[in-house]
Amino acid sequence: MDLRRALIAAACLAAAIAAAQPPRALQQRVKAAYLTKFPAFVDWPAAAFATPGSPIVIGVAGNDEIARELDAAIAGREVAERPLRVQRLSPGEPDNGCCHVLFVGGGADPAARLQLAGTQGRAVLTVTDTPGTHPPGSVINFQVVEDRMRFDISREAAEKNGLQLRAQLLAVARQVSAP
Amino acid sequence: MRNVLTLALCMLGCGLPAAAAAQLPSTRQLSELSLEQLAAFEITSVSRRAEPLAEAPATVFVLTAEDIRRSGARSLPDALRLAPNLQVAQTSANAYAVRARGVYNNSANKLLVLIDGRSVYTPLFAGVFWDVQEVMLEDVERIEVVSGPGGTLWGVNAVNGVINVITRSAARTQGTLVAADVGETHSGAVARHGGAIGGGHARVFAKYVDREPTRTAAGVAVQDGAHLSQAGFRGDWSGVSGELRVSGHAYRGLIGQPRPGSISISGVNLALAPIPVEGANLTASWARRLATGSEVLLQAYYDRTSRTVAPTFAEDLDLFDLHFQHSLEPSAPRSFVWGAGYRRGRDRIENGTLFAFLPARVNQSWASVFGQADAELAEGLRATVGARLERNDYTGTEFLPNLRLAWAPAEGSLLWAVAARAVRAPSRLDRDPFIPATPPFLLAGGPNKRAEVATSLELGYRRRAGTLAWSATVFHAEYDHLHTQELAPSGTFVTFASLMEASTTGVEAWATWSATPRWRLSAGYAALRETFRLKAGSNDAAAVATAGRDPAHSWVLRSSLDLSDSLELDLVVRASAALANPAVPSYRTADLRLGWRPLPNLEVALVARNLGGAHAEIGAVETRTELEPGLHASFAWTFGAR
Repeated sequence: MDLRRALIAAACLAAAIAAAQPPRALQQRVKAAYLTKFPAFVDWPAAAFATPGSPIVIGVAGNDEIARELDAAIAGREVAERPLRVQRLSPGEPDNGCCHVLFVGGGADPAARLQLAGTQGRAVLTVTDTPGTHPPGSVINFQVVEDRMRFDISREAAEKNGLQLRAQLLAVARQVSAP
Repeated sequence: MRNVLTLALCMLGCGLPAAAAAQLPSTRQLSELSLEQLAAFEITSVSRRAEPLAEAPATVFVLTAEDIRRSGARSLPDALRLAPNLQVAQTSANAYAVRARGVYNNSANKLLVLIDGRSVYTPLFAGVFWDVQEVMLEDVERIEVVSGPGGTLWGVNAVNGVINVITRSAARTQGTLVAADVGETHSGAVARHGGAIGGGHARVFAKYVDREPTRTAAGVAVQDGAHLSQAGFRGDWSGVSGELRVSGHAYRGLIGQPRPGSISISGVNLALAPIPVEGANLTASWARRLATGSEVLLQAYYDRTSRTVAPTFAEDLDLFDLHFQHSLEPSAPRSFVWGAGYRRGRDRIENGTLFAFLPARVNQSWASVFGQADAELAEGLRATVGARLERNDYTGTEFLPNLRLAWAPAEGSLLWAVAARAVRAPSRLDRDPFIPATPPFLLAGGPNKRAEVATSLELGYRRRAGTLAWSATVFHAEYDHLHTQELAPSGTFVTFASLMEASTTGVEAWATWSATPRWRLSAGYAALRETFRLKAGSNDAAAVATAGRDPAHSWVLRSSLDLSDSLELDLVVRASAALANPAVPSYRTADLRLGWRPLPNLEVALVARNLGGAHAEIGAVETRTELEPGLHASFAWTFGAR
């Protein structure tokens, strides 16, 4: 095959190509994958669970896409012999102690801020995806850095909520703010 | 052939309706990755550049940064021992034979090795001088080991496989790293600092390695002590006009030259001197995504190496390489990639009196064009067809086609088939060696030496389900024009020639099982059967014993266990069957590593190597190193911005 023929073939291919799938779907899947991984690296106070086999509940507010991805990913998965459950919340809906992990989408919306403030002082691992700044009350905030989904950790927020974060989690974080 | 190929390309391009969207990994598959792997996963382009080989219809083993760290490996060949589809054998402290799928005839010359896109395969002997490839393993993101033919995408020399070493973007090596290790066989230290610069990121690093001399099984000292210093940098900038990467390295060292010498001449006892080595290289690459969704990549590098191997030869080699690639819609159900490359070499050799490369000074060039199309023929069924034309000064234009079919019967599984033709072009060691340096010659070069040709078939299957992932490949290849050494009719001298054929059949398989979130087990196995046949006109009866240089089988088992949040225990057990030529007993050996992270940014590790007694891996018993059990300790400390 010479260069000219390759170019002709390239041109006819270019004409027939469909639009690429947006990267957004993959970003949501990576965030959902992280949400299934985080519980293994967090120690909740014993009082956070009713019984030794009680599930770890992952709440998702304001992001149905991630909730759907989680439904598919958690089936049959256990962390420290606890099954995982997904709980959907509307944006701004009080969590009423439903959850051990709470993902709050929607960035710096008033509803999201309210929801985060509502978890303070309770054993909830709050996770956000606000670009640029780490929202108050959020323990883990996703950041896209150089084409990768990284996360920052606020040890202050973790401490306020009485959560112990394991060293492996801190080691992978992009930034860890002091308590 | 040419017309058939063009027709096939147009059928794929124009004749099929738009099919389903590109396959993205599912959340379930992603959640099988470790935290570190997730953090390293590229999310905006799952295509060729990000996870280029995860969906590829090829036998690919990927070594992650985590795999390398937890192996305790301190050199690139040591890290490559984890790949079940490679056979790594150590001759002395600095020398290794690294090969895949056998046919290790006159040297390990059928693998292409790339470090961040820069080929380290030398046109001197068509292999790799492993003793100067001191990659900073702490900054390696992953190593992709492809076994099988890769000629279409990677050119002549990618006959039995390709090793792609990919280092992290400078944005991912911010802050400072200081690490050191000390052990009975080698010691070393590295320092790296990364920061933001000019709207992008950059790192600078320095590395020093010192290797202790080893002994043979009889206790005779092998003159292989070595030290090497290296410094380098990498900068990454990304903006609206694309992504720019600039990297460079410079090194200098002194490497012991054990018997029988880098060039051995039977019956002559040479006074072997240590080998001074130095080199420098600079690579720039620019990738840009165009508005149409296509992507262009332009890469240029300059690489200078210098090596004084007294008393046989001294070489100064300058290589300049330019590569262009255009991918159309890499993530769509159909894609097309085409490109062109040009490489120029300026080789200056100073010969001794006993041995010579003639002519001593040579300028060579290589030029190539390639195109490869990929299309979904039906739900889950993909076809890839492509070819490369590459010209070299010795044998002219070589044709390197491949055809691949891949069928994904379900999410997470892939069945693939490959038919390909790959070629190894002659190197200077094939054509230009003379003994002695002036007539009358005993060895009078290889004037009739041809390009080696491999025609390969491969069938493979891999599957990822829950906590288990596995892959299995069977292959068969026919080789022609392999190396022989022919006695001239006068009976007074020999020449190198290409009068041997070979057939190989083998399997490669591996599996990884995440038994619990804290315990990962993996196993890998390779088996090979090869037969060599002399062609009419050959009188090199000894050549067929080449088969005795490759192990009939090899395996590796690994266990990675997190004892607690900060304690890791890793075990690697590997084994290889015996070799016959020269005879090396089969061996089984193990490395054990205990890693402790007292602070999130400090890692201390203790590694016990070659447990279960000493063993040898390749070479004649009089000269080869006997690898002894030994201890190795290391620490790595990171601080500053992450």
